[in-house]
Amino acid sequence: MPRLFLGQREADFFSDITKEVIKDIAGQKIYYYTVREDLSDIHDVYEESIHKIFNPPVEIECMVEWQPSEVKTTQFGHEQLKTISAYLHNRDLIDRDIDIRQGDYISYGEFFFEITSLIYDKLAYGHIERVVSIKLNAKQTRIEHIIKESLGPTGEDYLDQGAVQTTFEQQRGQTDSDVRQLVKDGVLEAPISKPKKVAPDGSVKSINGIGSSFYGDD
Amino acid sequence: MTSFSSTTQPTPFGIYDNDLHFQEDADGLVLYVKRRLGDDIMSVELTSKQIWANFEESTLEFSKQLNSHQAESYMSNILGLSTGLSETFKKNDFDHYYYLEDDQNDDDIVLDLLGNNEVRKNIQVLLIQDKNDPRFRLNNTKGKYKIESGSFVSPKEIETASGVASPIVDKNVGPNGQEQKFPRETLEYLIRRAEPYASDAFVGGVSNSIRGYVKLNQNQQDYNVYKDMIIPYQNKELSLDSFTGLDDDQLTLFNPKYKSELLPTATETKIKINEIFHFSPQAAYRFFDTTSAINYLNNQFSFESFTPETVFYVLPVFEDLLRAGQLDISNRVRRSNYSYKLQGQELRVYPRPTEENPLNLYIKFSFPADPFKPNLPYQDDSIEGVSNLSNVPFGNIQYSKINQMSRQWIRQYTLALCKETLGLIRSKFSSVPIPGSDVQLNGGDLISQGREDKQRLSESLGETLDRLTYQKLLENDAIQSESMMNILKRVPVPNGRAIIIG
Repeated sequence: MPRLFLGQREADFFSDITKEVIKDIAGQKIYYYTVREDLSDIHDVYEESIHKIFNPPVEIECMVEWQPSEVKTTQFGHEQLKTISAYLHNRDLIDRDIDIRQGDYISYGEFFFEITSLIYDKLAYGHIERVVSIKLNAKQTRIEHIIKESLGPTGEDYLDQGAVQTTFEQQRGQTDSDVRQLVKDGVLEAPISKPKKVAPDGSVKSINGIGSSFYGDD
Repeated sequence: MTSFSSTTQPTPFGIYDNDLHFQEDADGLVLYVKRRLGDDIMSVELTSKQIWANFEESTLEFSKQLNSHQAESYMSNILGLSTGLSETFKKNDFDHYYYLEDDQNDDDIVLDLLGNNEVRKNIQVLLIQDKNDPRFRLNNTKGKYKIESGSFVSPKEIETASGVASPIVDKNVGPNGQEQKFPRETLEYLIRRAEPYASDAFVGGVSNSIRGYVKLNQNQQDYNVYKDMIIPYQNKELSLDSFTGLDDDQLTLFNPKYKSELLPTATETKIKINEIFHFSPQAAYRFFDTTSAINYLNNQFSFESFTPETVFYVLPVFEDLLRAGQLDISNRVRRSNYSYKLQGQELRVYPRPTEENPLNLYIKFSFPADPFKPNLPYQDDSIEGVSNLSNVPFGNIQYSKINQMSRQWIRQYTLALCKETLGLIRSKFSSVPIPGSDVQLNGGDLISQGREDKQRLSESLGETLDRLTYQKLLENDAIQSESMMNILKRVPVPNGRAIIIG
C-alpha cells in the first residue's frame, strides 16, 4: 500500500477497528504477569529463580489461538503439555505502556504459561513502523513456578464463581485502558450511547443457571 | 455531541445554516443516522459534519426535484420573465434589507431612535425593499423606522432618511426569488409563438416593414426590385445598395445614419416582399365587412361605435390571419385590375404600362426578423429573460417552508447518502489487518444499499411529482368529473322532482 494512501489517520482507523473487534466484540483476554527480577531469589549456580515474584497481573485483550495439547509419555508416565499463541495488538500495548518480555508469564483460563517467544507478527501493509500485532508463543509452565489463583473464566465444568464469564462489557474508548485515537483526536465523535453490556438478568437459564440480557436491553 | 448551531461551517455550502428549522432537525438527524447504522453497538465512522453535509445535499436534491417539477409544469408561463437578481441580500430581524457603512458591523450595539440599545442592522434599514425595483441595488435610499406617539409603528414601517445606500450581498446564488409560488396562467408564450405569423400578416408582431416604390416606365414591364427600388426618406431617395462605408452620406438604406431611423433591423440580405400595391393603402375599414357600405362609411367617419350596423368581435389570431388573406385577395381581385408576378429579383407587372407617365408601384417589404433584436424602441428584456431551465429564477426552497411529509423524504435520503458515505470510507480498505486475522469491511454492501435507497427514493418522489403536474391534475379532475356524472346518473330521482311516465 503506497504511503500516499496510508497515513496516520488511516493507521488510527485500523487501530480503532482492531480495538473494536478485540475489545468490544471478541472479548478474549489473557492476564500478563511480569517477573520482578529485582525481588526474586536467583539461584547462584543455575541463575534461575524457583520462587519468582510477580507484579500484579495486567488484563490484556487479544486474539488467542488455542492449540491442542501435546501428550508425552515418559518413564514417569504421560503428561499433557499445552501451548498457546496470543496475538496482541501492538498499538494497544503502546497506549497502555506495556512491554511484553520473553520469560514472563501469562494465564489463560485455569492454565499458566511461560512466554517462550515474541514475534512481530504482522505489519500494516508492509510499513515497518506500523506493527499490527505481536504474536507471543507460550508453553504451559509447572504449577510451582507461579502459584496464583486463576483469573477469568475457567470452564463450564467448574462451579466456583467466575468459572463462566457472565458479564461482558464493551469499552469503546470509555475506559482507562482503551484509547480510540480518532475520537481522542476529535476526528470522530464519541458513540451516541454508552458501551453495551451483556450481564446476568436475574433469570435462571442455561446449564449454569444464569440467564443474560442481550446487549440491546438496558 | 457537538450541536449544529455551535459548529463552525457545519455544511459545505452553508445554504441552510441559518435556518432554525434546519438547525433543529440537524442535531436529531445525527442521532437518527448513527442509530440506524448501528452506532449503539459498533462504531459508525461518520462525523457529524459528514451527516450534515448529506442532510444539506438531501434538501438540495429535494429542492431541485421540486423546482424542476414546477418549471416543467409551468415553463410556458415563465419563459421570457426577468431572471431577477443573482444574489440574495442580508435581512435584519424584521425581515427588512439593511445597509452598513464601510466601518460598521451588523451586530454593533447602538442607540435606536428611541434611545434604546439595538443592533445596528435593525436600525439602518433601506427605504426600497422591493428587489425588482431597478433602484434597489444601485440607487437605494437610507430609511428609518417610523415613529408615532413615541413608539415604533407596528408592524414596522419605513420612511425616508437622507443619503444613498446599498443592500448587503449575502450569497451569490444565481437567479432566484420565484420559487415556492403558484403563478397565474398567462398566454404570453402562445402569443409570442404567434408573433411571426402576425408579423407576416401585418396584424401585429414585432418585425417592422418598410415601404418603397418602383418608378414605372412606359412600355417597361419588368423591373429589378433590388436595383429599381427607391425608399423615400426626408426628400431623399435611398436604394438597397450595399453600404460601402466610404461615403457617410451614401444613399442606401443600409447606411447606419438612415437605417437607425428607418429600420434598425435591416440587414443586407434577401428582402421579404409583403405587399405590392399601386394605390394608397387603406387599413382599418378592410377589417370590417367590405360589402357593407354603411360599415365602410361609418369607418371612414369614425362612427363605428355609434351605429348598430357595426359589430365588433373578439376573435382569435387565426381569424385575423384568415381575414387578412381574404382581404388581400379581395383587394387584388375585386378592387384592382392590375396584377404582378414576382420571380427572384424580377418583378413583372401586368398589364404593360402604356401611359406616358405611369404612377409609382409601391412595394412593402421587410427583412428577415432577427430573433434576438426585435424592432422595438427599447431593449427587449424578455429576450434576456428566462429561456430554459438553467435560468428559471427558482432558488433553493427554504427548509422552514418544507412540510413534515417532505422532511421525512429528506431524512430518508440523508440516511441513504450516509450509507453511501460510510461505504466509501469503509471500502477504501476492504480488508484491515488485525492481530491473527484480517477484518473484511462491509463498504461495498453499504454503497450498494445507499445507492439503491437513493434511487428508490428519487424514483418515488419523481413518480409522485409526475402525478401532480398541473396537466395531470386537470386530467384527474376531468376523470373525477366524468366518474361523478356516471354516479349521479344512477342516483334515483325522488318522486315529484322528475317527470314520471307510466
